[in-house]
Amino acid sequence: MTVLTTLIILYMINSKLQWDPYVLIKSDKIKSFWKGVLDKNEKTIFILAKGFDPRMNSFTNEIIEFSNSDTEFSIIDIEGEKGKYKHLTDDNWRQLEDKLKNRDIEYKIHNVEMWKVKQNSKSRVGPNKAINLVNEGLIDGFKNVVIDISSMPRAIYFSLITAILDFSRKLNSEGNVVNVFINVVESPYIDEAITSSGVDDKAEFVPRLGGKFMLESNLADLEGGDKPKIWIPVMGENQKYKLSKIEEIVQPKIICPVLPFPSDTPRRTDNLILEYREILFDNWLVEQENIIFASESNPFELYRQLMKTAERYFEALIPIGGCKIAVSSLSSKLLSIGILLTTYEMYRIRDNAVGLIHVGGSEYNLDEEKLKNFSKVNQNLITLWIDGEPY
Amino acid sequence: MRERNPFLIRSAERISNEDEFIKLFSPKIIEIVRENVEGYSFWNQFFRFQSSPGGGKTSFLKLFSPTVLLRLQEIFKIRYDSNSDIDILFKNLKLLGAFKENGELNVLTMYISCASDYDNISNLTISESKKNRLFISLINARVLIAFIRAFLDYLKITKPDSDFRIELEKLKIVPSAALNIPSDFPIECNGLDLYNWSGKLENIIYREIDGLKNQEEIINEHSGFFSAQLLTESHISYEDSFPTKFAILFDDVQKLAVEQYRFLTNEIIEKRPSNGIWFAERLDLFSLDELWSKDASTGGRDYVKEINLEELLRGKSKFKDFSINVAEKRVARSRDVTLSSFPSTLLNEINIGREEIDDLINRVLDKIKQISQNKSTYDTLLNSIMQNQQQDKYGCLCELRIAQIIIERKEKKESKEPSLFQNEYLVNEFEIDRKKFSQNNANYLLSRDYGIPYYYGYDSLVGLSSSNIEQFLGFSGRLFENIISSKLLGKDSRINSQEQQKILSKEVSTRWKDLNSLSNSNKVKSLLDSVAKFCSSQDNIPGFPYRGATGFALKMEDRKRLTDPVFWENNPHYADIANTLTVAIANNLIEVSVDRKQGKKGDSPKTLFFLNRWICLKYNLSFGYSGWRKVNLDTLGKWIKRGYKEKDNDSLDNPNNTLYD
Repeated sequence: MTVLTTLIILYMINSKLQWDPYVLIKSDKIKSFWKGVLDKNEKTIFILAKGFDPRMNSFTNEIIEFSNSDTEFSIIDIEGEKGKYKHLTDDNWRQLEDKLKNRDIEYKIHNVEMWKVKQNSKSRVGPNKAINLVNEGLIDGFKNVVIDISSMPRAIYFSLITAILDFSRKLNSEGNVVNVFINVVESPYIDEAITSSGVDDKAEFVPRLGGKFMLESNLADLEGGDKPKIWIPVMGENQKYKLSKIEEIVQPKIICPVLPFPSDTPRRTDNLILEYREILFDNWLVEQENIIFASESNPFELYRQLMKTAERYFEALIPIGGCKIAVSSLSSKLLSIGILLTTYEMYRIRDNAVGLIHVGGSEYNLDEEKLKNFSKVNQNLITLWIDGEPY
Repeated sequence: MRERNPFLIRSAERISNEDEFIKLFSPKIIEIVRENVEGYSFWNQFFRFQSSPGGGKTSFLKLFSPTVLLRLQEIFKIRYDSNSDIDILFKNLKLLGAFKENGELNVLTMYISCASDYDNISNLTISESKKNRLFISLINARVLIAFIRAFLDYLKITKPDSDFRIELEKLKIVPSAALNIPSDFPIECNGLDLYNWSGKLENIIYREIDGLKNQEEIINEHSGFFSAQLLTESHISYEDSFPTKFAILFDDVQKLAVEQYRFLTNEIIEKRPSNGIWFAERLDLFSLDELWSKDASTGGRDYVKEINLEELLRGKSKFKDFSINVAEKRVARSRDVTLSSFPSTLLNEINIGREEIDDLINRVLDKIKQISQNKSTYDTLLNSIMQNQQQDKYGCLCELRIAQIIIERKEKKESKEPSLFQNEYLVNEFEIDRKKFSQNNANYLLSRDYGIPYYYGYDSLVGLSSSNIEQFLGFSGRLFENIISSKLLGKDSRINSQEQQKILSKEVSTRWKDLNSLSNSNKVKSLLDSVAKFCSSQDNIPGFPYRGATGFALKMEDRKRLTDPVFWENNPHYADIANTLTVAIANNLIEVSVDRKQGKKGDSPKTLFFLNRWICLKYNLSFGYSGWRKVNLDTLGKWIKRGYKEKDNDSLDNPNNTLYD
C-alpha cells in the first residue's frame, strides 16, 4: 500500500460523518416501517408535546394500530392551564387520550414550564427542564425512543434530542443498543396557517449546544486573539426580526446564508433573496459568494452540506488560529434536525467550536379556519433514524 | 471599500478594521460626552451609559479599545494635513485622560460583552448561591482574559516583532496581601500564568454550563468580583512602561439575568474598585430605578454617573451637528453617488402652488371669521398680515394660522369672562402674543388642517431621528435610495417636500407593521395608538394650549409603583402596564426623560414619556418635546386594555377611578 493510499484511507476514516449514510423514511413507507419496528415487541417510548398544532396526532393516528403492551407514551405539557389556543390543545389531547385509553397504552404527562418570569424579564427554562427529564430517567430501559417534534417547540426538542443522543450514544458504545427516531410531519399548508410573533428579547445558544462559541480565551493560540466568528443561518420566510436578534449576539465576521435549493416552489430561493436583500446585502454586507444552497426536503443532505462547510472553514483558517461557527435554524422543523445533527457532531462528538443559536417566539397566531380544513392530504410524514442499529 | 447605500450599513460598530471605524466615527459625540462628565474621571468611577437600541453605546465603547486608540495615536502622529475630525477626536480623548500630554496611550480597557451565556447559568438546576458564584467566577475569568488581551494588543503595536509568550512572562502580577483572592490563584504569577489560569477556569465553567464532563471535577468558585481590584491593588510590573489606568467596559448589561445584574452592581458599589467600571445598557423602565439596593447609601451617589446618550444629544443643534458629520462620512463611502452635501438634497421649501396658497389663506380667514363670530375686532390685524410686503404668500399663511390660535384663545377667554367693551386687537399686541409660537407650530397646524407637507427638510429628518443615530441612518437610507435612483436615471437628485414626506411615511408604515414581532405586540400597539390619539386630541383643542403634545407624564410615585414587585402582588394589573411600557421603552418606541421639573411651579418632578418621533409622523403629530399631559396608571391601563376613548380626557389624572370600565 502506498503512502498516498494510506493517507487517503486515513482521511476517509477521519472524515467519516456520523450520519452518512443515513436512514430517512418517508410517507408511503412509514406504516410498513413502524409495523416492522413495533412488531419486534421491544420497549418503545413515544415522546411528544401537547399543542394546538393539528399535526400533534398525525403520526400516532397512522401507527397506533401497531402498538402493543411494550409501547408507552410520554406527553410533555408546556402550556399548562394557560394558552391562547388552549381549546385546540385540549381537543388534540382528548383525541390522543381516547386512542391511548382504547388501546390500553400507558402514558405519563410531564409538566414542563417554559418560562421563568422575574420582574420585567423572562428567561426560557424549558430547554433545561427537558434535559432534566432525561437525566431523571425518562428513557431508561427503553430500546426504542421516538421523539415526535410535530407540535413541540424547537427550544424544547433541540435540548431534548441532544440529551437523548448523549444518553443513547453512551449506551450504544457500551453495547446496549438503543434506537432513537425523530418523527416529523411536514405541511406547508399548516406552516402558513401558524405564524409566530413576540420574538424573544434575546437569542441564546441552545443548552448543551453552545459550541464554545462564547469562550473568550484561546489557549491554543494566544497570539491569534479573537477567533473569527462565522454565522450560517438556514433561511426561511418572515424571519427578519429573528435574524436581527441572532446577529446581535453572534456579531459575525462572515455570514453564509443557506437557501433551499432545490425546492418544491421553483422561485422560493429568489423570493427569499428578495425578502432579505436589504438586510443581507445592504445592512450586513454579505458577500454573494457566501450563499450556500441545500436541499429543502432532506435534513441529512443539509447536514452533509453544513458539515462540509464547517470543515472547510476550520481547515482554511488554521493559520489564524481557527474560527467559531454559529448555526441557526430559521426554516422548517424538518431542516432544523439537519442543523441539530451538524452541531451535535461538531461540538459534542468532535469538540469543535460550532454552536446552535436560537431565538423563539412567545406568541402564536393561527388561521383557525385553515386549521379546521386540514386533512391528511396536506401532510407528509417523515421518520429520521438517528442512533442505534444502523450506526 | 464602497457600498451601494452606505446609510444602510449596520455592521459599523463591529468593523474590525480600525481605520474604517475611525473614519466612520463622528467626534461630536465624544465632545458632548466630555462636556457632560466634567469633574468625573472615566478611570476610577462607575459610569452607566444608557440609550435605546441603536443609540451608539457599543460604538462609543469600541472607541476606547486599545487597538482603536493606538491606531488613532498613529494616525494623529503621521498625518500630513490637518484633519479636523481626527484632531477633535484626539484632543477630546486626551482631555478625558485616554492619552497622556505627550500623546502616549494612558489607559487599557477591557471589553466584556454581557450578551454572552451568563443567562444560561441562571437556568441551571443548582442553588441560587452557587449560580451567583459561578457567574462571578466567569466574570472574573473574562475580565482577566480581557486584560491580557488588551496587553497583547498593546504589544502588537508597540513591539510587533516580539515573542508574545516571552513578553507575557515578563509581565509580573503580585497581588497585595490584603486582597481577597481565590485559593487557587497563582501567587506572584506572570501574564502567561494569569491567562492560562483564567482560560482554564472559563473552559471548566463553560463545560459545566453545557453539561460536558469536566476532567477536573471541582470548580473553585469565587465569592466576589475580585478581578477589578486585582488590577489596581496588585503590583503589576513590566520591563517597559505601559498604560496603568484601567477601565472594565461591560456592554449590553441588560442581557444579564436580573439577579446577576443586581449581584454585579452591588459588588461594584460595595467594593468601589479604583479603576473605571462602565456599563453600557439599554434603557428600560427598570433601569430608571436606583442602581443600588440593599446597601443604598449617599456615598454611592458620587461614585456613579449616569449618561443617557440620547438625552445628551437632545437639543436639536447638538444632534444636528452630529448627524451632519455622520452623514458626510457615509456619503463619502457611496459607490455610485457623489454629493457635496446630503442635507441640501432635502429641499426645504414647501412645494405648493400660489393658487393653492391663496385658497388656504381664504380658508383660514373663513375659519377665523367663524371663531370670532364675524366680529370686527381682528380686522385691522388680519389686514396688516395680508398686506405685509416683507413676507411671501406662504409666510402670510403661517402668520394667519398663528393669528387663528391666538384668536381662539382670546375668544375662549372671552366666553368665560365676557368683557363689557370689545376693544380692537392691535397689531403690536399680536406681535407680543405671537412670540409664544414658532414657525414650526404654524407649519404643523397647517399640515394637520389641510394636509400640506410638514415632514420635510433636513431639520425634520433630524427631528424624526429622536436623537438616535441608528434611526437617523435608517430614514436617511430611505431618502438616499431615492437619490441613487435619481442619479441612475440622470435626474435631479434633490427631493422635494412632498416626495420626502411620502418616502418617510412609507418607511414609518413598514416600521409599524414590524412591531408585530414584539412580545405583547397588541398591547404595545394599543398603548402607542392610544397615546398618539390622545395627543392628537390635545392638539385639536382650540387655542393649541399644549403646543404639540407628543407624550405623557407619570408622577414619580406612580413610576416607582410600576417597578415595585411588592406593589404588583396586590395589584397584578399593574404588572401588565409595567411589562408593556418596558417593551415599548426597550425597543425605542417611547423615549424617557426622568426627573423633569416641567409643569406648574412647585410641581414635583415627573418622568416624561414621549412617543418616538417616527410614531409622531404616523399620527401626524409634531416633533416637539414641550407638549405633554400628566396621566395616572389607571388611564394607562385602560389604554393598553381597550384603547383610547375620548371620555378618558376627563379622568386622566383623577385620583379616584377604576381601572377598567
